[in-house]
This record gives sequence, structure tokens and C-alpha cells, in this order.
Amino acid sequence: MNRKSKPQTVGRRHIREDAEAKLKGRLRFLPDLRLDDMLHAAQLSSPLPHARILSLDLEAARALPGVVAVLGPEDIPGENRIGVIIDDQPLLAQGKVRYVGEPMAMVAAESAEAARAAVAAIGFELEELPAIFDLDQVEAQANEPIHEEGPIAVHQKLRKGSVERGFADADVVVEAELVTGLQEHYYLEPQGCIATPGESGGLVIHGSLQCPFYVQRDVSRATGLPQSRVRVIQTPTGGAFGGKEDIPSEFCARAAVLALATGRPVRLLLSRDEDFLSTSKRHPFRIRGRLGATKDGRFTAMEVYQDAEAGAYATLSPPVIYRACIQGAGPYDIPNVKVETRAWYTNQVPNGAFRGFGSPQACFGHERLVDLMAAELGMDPVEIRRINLLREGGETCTGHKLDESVGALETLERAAEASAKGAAEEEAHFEDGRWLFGTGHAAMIYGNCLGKAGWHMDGAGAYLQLHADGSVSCATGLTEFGQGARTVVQQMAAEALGIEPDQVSLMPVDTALVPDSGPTVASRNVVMSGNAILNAAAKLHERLAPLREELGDVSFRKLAGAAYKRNVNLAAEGWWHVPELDFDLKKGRGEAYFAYSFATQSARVAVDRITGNVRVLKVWAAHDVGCAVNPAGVEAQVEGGVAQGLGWALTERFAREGGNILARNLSTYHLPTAIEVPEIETIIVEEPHSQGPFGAKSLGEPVIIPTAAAIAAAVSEAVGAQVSEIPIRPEHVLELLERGGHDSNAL
Amino acid sequence: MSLLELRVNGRVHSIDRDPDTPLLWILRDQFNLTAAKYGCGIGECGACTVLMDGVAVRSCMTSVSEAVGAKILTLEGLFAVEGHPLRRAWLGEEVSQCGFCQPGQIMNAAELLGRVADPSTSDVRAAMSGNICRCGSYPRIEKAILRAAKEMRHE
Ligand code: FES
Ligand code: FES
Repeated sequence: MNRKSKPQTVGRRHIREDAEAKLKGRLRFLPDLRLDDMLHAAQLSSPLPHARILSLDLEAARALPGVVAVLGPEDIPGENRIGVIIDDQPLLAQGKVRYVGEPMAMVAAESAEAARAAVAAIGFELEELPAIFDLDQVEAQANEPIHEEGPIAVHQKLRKGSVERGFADADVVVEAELVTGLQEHYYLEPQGCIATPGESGGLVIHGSLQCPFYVQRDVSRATGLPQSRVRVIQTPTGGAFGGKEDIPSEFCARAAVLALATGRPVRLLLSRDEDFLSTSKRHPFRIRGRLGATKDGRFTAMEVYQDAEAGAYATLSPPVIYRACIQGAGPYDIPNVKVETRAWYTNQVPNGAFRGFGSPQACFGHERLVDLMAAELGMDPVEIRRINLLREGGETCTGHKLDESVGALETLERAAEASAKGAAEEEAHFEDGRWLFGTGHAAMIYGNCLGKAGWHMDGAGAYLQLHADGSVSCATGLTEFGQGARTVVQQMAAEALGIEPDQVSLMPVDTALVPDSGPTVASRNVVMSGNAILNAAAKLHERLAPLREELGDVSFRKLAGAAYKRNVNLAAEGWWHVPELDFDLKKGRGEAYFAYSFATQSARVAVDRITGNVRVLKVWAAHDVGCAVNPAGVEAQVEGGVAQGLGWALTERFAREGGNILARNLSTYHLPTAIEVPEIETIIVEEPHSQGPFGAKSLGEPVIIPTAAAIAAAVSEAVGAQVSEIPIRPEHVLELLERGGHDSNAL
Repeated sequence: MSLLELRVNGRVHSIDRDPDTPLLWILRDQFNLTAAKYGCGIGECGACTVLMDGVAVRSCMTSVSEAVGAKILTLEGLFAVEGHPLRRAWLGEEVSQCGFCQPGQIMNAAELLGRVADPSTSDVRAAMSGNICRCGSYPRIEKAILRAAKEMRHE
């Protein structure tokens, strides 16, 4: 391949390919689409957290004007099942309801109002059962289990060396009990989809979603149609953050069943209220941990127990638990490690995927322990991390020996150095005496892609079609929902072919264009699509090579034109899958993931001694991304992840009472706004990985992982006592201030 | 139902709708002006922001009868003429992530710049604090507004 005089696209700042369309309001999101003859769907939701369904009467609703179909569980033509991994969830509740908001029946009508009226007219009788609402109660599920199989949805273990021996070798042992809260995605565009009956008896689904291939499978299952008759096209998606991973499958499957029953397009759009109250959240965790170290700060053992609340169904608890467990002891080289992670059923909305997949919780756990240890030893928190962080040749907590691409230490040094300069400019705005300042650091490790537990679906395809004019159509199977991945894909395709990015047109993600590429989760997009594109481009180069030889140094356009005239096959399919992993799932030993991203974030905070309020003044985020294909995109991802991490750490308190959600809207659930989000400095570290396209590794999730832990560390330093719970509430801060010996009355 | 006259993006429309209908649904469903988005429907997110006589309003909370007689401007209207400084600034600072909140952000920014020619950082933050961006584009929005303000002052 002759690359000499070719444009260099990878590594250059690049404006997003859809930036113009977004600015003109021209991008058509799902709610912006209008189809002729479209029906509107609505769902009947359970008002009780746990109950037996005694009767369901759909007749009165069916008789209302404008109502075209009212369906219950018996009317589902295929299987009444949904669920990615564990088969415990019905599409419409059957026999029992297990959380407030669980769908029991559904309606399609000529207008949204008629659909809502029909839902209100559905008759039902429920017999209330004792319910389990949180982790305090989970062990008492004996009388009326939520599921026959028992209270634990998932259990994952990790064992390395012997923690007994490790603690015996320690000079100092610290212990902590830690709590992390729920988090709501609040993607700005609520869930929505349209199912349209196709001419040949199949279905076309349009939706605001992350995982078209999940939808294809689940729609097929619910309707009984073969997967080949279900085509899924992703519409531009207004944010997702994991919240549109498995959840859209439910809505798409319900709309699909309604579309088949009525023979008309059916649109199912959630109101913000419905979305807020009935879709998945970040798992709350309880963490108990112990860390042992020698006097000079070397870790000898870490032991972590994580209990997570799964909610009423397992949904994505298995991969969340897998990741939380594998990363439970952090990016450190520790000879003896034990992690035990369980997800428990409760009568709450199922918790699922949320940016980080259990990693932010795990990170809060190990980083709090590390800071406790630093405090106990009187050691600088940066120094203790420097001593223990993984290096090339080191072994992760699962015993995976890392031979390449370990940027952990460099992220620490760079974040520490940058944050040491402080945030003097911001601090100047804070009144003397009333405010206390602190800086904290947190480091993380992130296994790229799905790891051993999801290896069977960790492959992805790409399709490149070269046209006679030298331009290229490119289709991949992984989706864009704001992360900027499409732009990176475009850049990588351009680089691989040696052309300018504007010569590459990206297709919408459509299951008809590329083979099943798995889910767009686990920060897979760039790594998977990039490698698949490289594979396809190599095929094209091979086919063009003889002509290149013959024609000499001609433009790509000329080459394409000549190839076209010679009937060269100008379309190529690419494929890549994650290399095989040698990992023992039972013991949690071996190669858990094929590559790891690393990061350190530092935060500077001001704490108000009178009110207990915390203001984040600045965050420095150093991320080892392997290769920053589009540095502008890296910065945007970092800013977004830090903002969400800040919300989870400080303002986003998801209050519940029993099975009811009290935090119902933004006046009770506070998202960070332009006022709370501080200046964020992105520091790019590039330790390329040999298996990453152009060396690139995952980024989309790492950006949120260390933020809350860094803020907690900064607050702890400011008040002189250790934070053990997030969100960090002002009341809690006032208690810590007292414990830290600060007397606010003295002010 | 009643007959109402609306002036949107310089055009006069006459519609027959319940006067209590939120303006957002008239813009989106009746005029196919879909830049203004539904994000919450209760005035909390700002995704539906449009200008009425230069003032930013939440169109999900504004009944169409309140909009009669006012000059309504949506993102489609604001950017109808090429080369608006806000558009250039938004592109230059690479603001949009998922893009869903951006029409509302830009309309709110347009109101601010109509009021204050030389806003400070804290003016911008205060003015924009009611517009949620879950993708976290706040630092870029701030930069883009300051940049557009500068351009509009011909500095
Ligand atoms: S939709 Fe109007 S403020 Fe959210
Ligand atoms: S760009 Fe996605 S919500 Fe603002």
C-alpha cells in the first residue's frame, strides 16, 4: 500500500460529520418522523411493586372510539420473553408484577389521547404481595420470593493469590464500608420507536437506540418472525449513555407486536415522566473492603465485597457485575486479591447499563480504600498510587500479565502535575475563611470491549463501497448517540484508504447493511468498527494493487474510475473479532479483556463550611486512549463524562420511598447545569495497543469512571475526614466537618 | 377550537386549534418545524426554547393563544440566513454532541446576545443554567457564546 503522499487524517482535530445538520435542526430524530397512517401506542403500567395478577379485562378499552388494538400477554404471537442474558423477564407481565411501572397491557390507537384513554379503561385486579425495596431487605426474601430461582440474580468471583497471606504480610490494614447511589440517564431524547409492517410480511423498526441487533433478535422472538424479516434502522439518537442499550428492545418488541396485529405503523414514544419512572438506572452499590500494605506503601492484599441492587429483573446485571468485579481492585499490581460481587433482586425498576457498567462504583470502592491507606500511612495519595500502579510486565488483579499499552503511570504523573498548579483563578472567587479547599485524585482501569463473559458477541462488521468517482460509502454496525464515533469511523476509513474524510459517506446503522456487530456498549465502537474497516480496506487495496502498479502514481479518483471500467469488485466487507481470551470465569483468573484503558482524574473543590455545599473548581482528566483519532472528540467525551460523574457524586440524589420514586423530575433530581460544571482540562496520553485500530483503545466509559472518586477524595482532603457515600450531601459534609475538627460556629 | 393567527419565522399562519395547546406542538406537528424538541414538557430542560419578540420562552409551557401577536422565531428561522455568528461559533467550538438539546441552547444564547453585547463568563453561565445538556457540552457552549458575542461586536 502506497501511503507516502497521502493525507493524514487520524490524529487530526476533525469537525463532526453531522455538525451542520444538527445546527440547522435538520437531523430527523425519531419524534420528528411522520408516517402516513401511523398509530400511537401506550402501555398500562403496574401501580404496585409486587402483586399477583388476578384478572385483566381488555374489552371495555377495545370498545372505545379510535382504539385499534388492545393487547395483553396472551396476544403476543411469539414468546412473551425479553432479556439479553438471563431469561427472567416477560414482555408483558404474566401472573405477577414485580415493580411499579411494569407494563401489563398495550394499546394502539388513532391518536395519543385515544391510546391513553384506552389504557385508563383497561380493567384489572391485583393482589398485593410483600415486597423487597432495597439492599437492606434482600436477604429476607424467603416468604414471597421475587423469582423462584432465589434472591441473587448474578454472582461473580475473582481470586488471586491468598488474601489471608497478604493481610498477614501487611503492616497496616484499613477497612471501609461504602455506598453509591442510583443514577438516572436523563438522555435528552426520551425512548421512542416506530414499527412498520413491510410489504412482504416483515417489519421495519426505526428507533432511538444503541443496539439494533439486540432489537432485531428481541422483535423476532416476540413476533415469531425470523430475524431475516426484521430490519432495524437506528434514527439519530439524542443521548443514550447505556440507557438505550437493552431497554429499546422492549419498546420495539411491543410496537412490533402492535404493528403486526393492526397492519399499520405504530409509534411508541415515552413521555419524560414515563421514561424517568420506568426505565433502567445505574445500580446502587454497597461495598465493604479491606486493603493491606507494608509501611512503605506497597499493597499486599485487597479484599472487596460488592452488593448491587438489580431491581426486579436481571436485564444487564450480568455484564455490570462482571465488570465491577474484574475491576474491583483497580489498576494496581497487588499479589493477593479477592473480589466477590452479587446483584440482588428487589421490587424496583430493573437497573441496567449506565456509562461505565459498574466501573464508577468499583472505582469509588478501591480509590476510597487507597486514600484511607495513604491517610493511615501519612503518605501522599499520589505517591502511594505511583508505587502500586500497574506497569508494563505487571499483572492485573485477574493475573493478566500486561506486555504492552499500560499508560496508567503516565496518566497519574500528568494529572498530578497539572493539578498541583491548583485552580487559583477559580479560588479567588471564594470568600476567605468560609471555604475549605481540597484536591483529590482517582485512577482507574477499564477492560476494553465485552471481555470473556461477552466474547461470543464481540465481533463487528463493516462495509466499504468504492464508487467510480473515488468516493466511498461506509456502513458499520455500531451506533452513534452523541459520542462522536461516526466522525472517528469516517476518519479511520479515510485513513485506511488514503483519502480525505469528506470523501467517505456514512450510512445510517441498518441491520440490512452489515452483519450482526453486537451491541454498541463497553466503548466498543472505535475499536471494533475501526478494525473491521481496516480489514475491508485491506481487501480493496489488494484488488486495486495490480492497477496501481500499471497506472503508477495516479489520484485515487482516477484509480477508482479505472478499476470500475475493468469490472473490479469495489465493495468489500470487513470483519474483526476480539482475540480469544484465556480466562476462568468461575475463579475470575486470566485474561479478562484483550486490552485495557487507563486514566487518572484530579479534582479541586471548595467546601462551604456553613452550608456543607461542595463546588468543583476544576477537573484534570488524563486518559490513556492508545491513539486519539480525533482529539476534539476525546475532549468532548471527557467533558461529558466528567459532568455526569460530577452529578453522580454531588447532585443526583435519586430518592425513593418503598416502591415509589420520589425524585420525579429535575426539581427533585438535580442534574448538573452550566453553573456546576467547571473547567475541565483534558490530558491525552497515547500508549498504543497492537490490536487497536491505529493503536486506539476504549474511551467513552472511562471518562466517567474516576470522577466521583476524585471529587470524594478532594472533599475528604478539604474537610479532614473521609467521605464514604455518594451522592455527597451537604448534611453529610457538615457531619464530616465536625469529625474533621472544623467548627463552623467559629466563623 | 378557534381560529388563531401566528407569525413564525416571518410568515403568517392561520390555524384552527384549541388555544390552550402548547406552542411546541403547533410548531412541530402543524408547521413541521421540528428543531424545537420535547425533552420534558414541564419547563425544566429548555430543549423547546424559542424566541417570542426576542424573549426566550419554553414553548412546551406557552399556550398558543399567548403567542398570538408575537414574532416567533425558531432555530430554522434564526439560521435561515447563512453565516449567523452563533452558527459559526457553534461549529468552530464543536459544541454539539448528540445535538438534541442544541436548538434550545442556541435560541437561549440568541436571546442573551440580543440583551447583552459583551457578556461575562458568569452572565453566560447564569443565562444558560436552565438549559440542560446531558452530554455535557457546557464548557463549549460557553466558549461559543463568548466567541459569537465578540464577532457580533466586530472585535
Ligand atoms: S420540553 Fe420544554 S422545557 Fe423541557
Ligand atoms: S448535546 Fe446531547 S444533550 Fe446536549
